[in-house]
Amino acid sequence: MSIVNRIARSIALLLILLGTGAPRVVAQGTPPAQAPPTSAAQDEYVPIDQLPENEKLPAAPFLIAAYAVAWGAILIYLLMLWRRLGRVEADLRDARRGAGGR
Amino acid sequence: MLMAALAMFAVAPYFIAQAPYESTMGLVQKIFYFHVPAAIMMFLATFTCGIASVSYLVRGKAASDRLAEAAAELTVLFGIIVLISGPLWARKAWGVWWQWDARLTSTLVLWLLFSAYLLLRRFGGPGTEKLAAGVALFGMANVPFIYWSVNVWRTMHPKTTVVPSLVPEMRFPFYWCMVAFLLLFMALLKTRVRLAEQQDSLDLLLAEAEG
Repeated sequence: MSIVNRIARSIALLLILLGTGAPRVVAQGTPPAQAPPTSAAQDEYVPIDQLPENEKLPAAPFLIAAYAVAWGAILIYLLMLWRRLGRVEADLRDARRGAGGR
Repeated sequence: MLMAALAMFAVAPYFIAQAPYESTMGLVQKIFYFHVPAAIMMFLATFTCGIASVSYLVRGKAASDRLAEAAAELTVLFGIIVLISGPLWARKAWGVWWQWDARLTSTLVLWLLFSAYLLLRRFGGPGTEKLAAGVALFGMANVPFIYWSVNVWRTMHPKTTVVPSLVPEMRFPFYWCMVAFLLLFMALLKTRVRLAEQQDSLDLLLAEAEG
């Protein structure tokens, strides 16, 4: 095989490879066309009762949780304060009794 | 005072239920009636602690130190209420639990400062009173920054103009809760100061018995 034939076959092979592979490379290189993200209530209005169950966020549990936390924190602190005061006053009474006995 | 506060708290849900719904947030906006008074009590406790700390640093009186420590505990207590009720409100109103904006972040920093104050007092050993007083001053300096942050920087948090613009139907339950929280604050502060006084008397008696 002459050198000219060999070059011609190499070029043909290269063209075939480029012809089959290039579209795939181009497809990988350019991102697919995407629709711009839409925000809620921009394309259509959906009545709230038609929302899927998993997208509904009821307000009542948040409200109840907030009030429960406030009440709970206050009551726990009050109990802790009461217990600490009771313990210190009892110790103080004992200490005074001990000091008076000596 | 404590009984009056608890009675007002018991009646508060009725008045809050009577208040009209806010137009965009609806039911969840009613967290406001506890969230804002708790935040104001947190600021009041911070100022009490800060001013008492200045007095302690200048005059060195133990009574000022006792008041400062009592107020610091209340800052942490009301801070817990604010920092939990706020995200519960935000999750429904904004769709997120937390935003690292100026108001929320500086409130968290305030709470962490006063938690550090209490840890210092609890585990710092003798002589940490003055160091803790310095921490309280940093905490007090943070309060104006927290208050005006919503008016200065972009945030999703409501501005300070909300409270003065309340309609009368919303204003009454809000001020009812404010008075209830104020009475509670004063009752807790008084009791906590008494505890500190008793503890100091006990320590003195034990020291005399040993010495």
